[in-house]
Amino acid sequence: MTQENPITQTEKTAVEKPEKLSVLIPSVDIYENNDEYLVYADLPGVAKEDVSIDLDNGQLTLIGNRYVEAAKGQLMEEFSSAQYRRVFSVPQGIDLGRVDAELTDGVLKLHLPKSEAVKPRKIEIREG
Amino acid sequence: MRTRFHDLQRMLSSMDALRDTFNLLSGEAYDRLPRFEGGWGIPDGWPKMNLYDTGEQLEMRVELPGFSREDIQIKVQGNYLEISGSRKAAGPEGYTVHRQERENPTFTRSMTLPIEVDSGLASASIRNGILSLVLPKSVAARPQQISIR
Repeated sequence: MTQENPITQTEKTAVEKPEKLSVLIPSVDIYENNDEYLVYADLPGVAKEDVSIDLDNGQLTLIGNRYVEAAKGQLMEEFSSAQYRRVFSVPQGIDLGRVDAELTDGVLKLHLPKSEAVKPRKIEIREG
Repeated sequence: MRTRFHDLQRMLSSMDALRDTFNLLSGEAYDRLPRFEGGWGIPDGWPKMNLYDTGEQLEMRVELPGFSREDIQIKVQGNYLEISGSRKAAGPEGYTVHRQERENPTFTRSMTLPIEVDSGLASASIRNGILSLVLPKSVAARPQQISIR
């Protein structure tokens, strides 16, 4: 995962974005070990059906729609309906078939396993 | 005063939203600063809360991603409400950290409710990272029908 997160206007618009949702940038943690990259994203109030994760051409697009019913008798509203949206550049060598995503307690945990070819390898030195 | 604070907070979080919108439009690689540094909003206003008055009760929703039931304590008395909690500090073992924006593992937020509530009847549940509180108003505070003799 590169350090920068290019927040670019992508050509393709997110299919599920209804007109009125404002866009928020979710906080993420990005970790790496020898086997995978791990992304944690805070998506409070987003249900599983409203998340879309697209990995295309080295770009990971994460979208989650969150709906807050505008209840009557509103006294204080610090958060409302919104679309969480973030785009990342992803390095080569992700095993797309084994990508795994889990949404628990409003936190998305995304596992991006590295394909064998890019895993760190110990190189044995032969006797010359 | 809760009202004035809230107005100020509202203005500041719309400045946050404006900044986020400019981030998207500018199309540049824009490093997202951790909330407490980059946001214009007042730091005590975390986590974000919504409060509704539905007539019979007050309802509150709080954004608490990554918290489970055991991580949160709620205290209610009369018209005083205090919510505190701590979630497990982020990182899984054995990983290098490239980026860590999800801060604030511990918080406390308290407020004076506009109406007295019956703490014995209060209930709370958490789902998808949103904590919902139902705080029935104490009998004296409920809307009463007044019949005309």
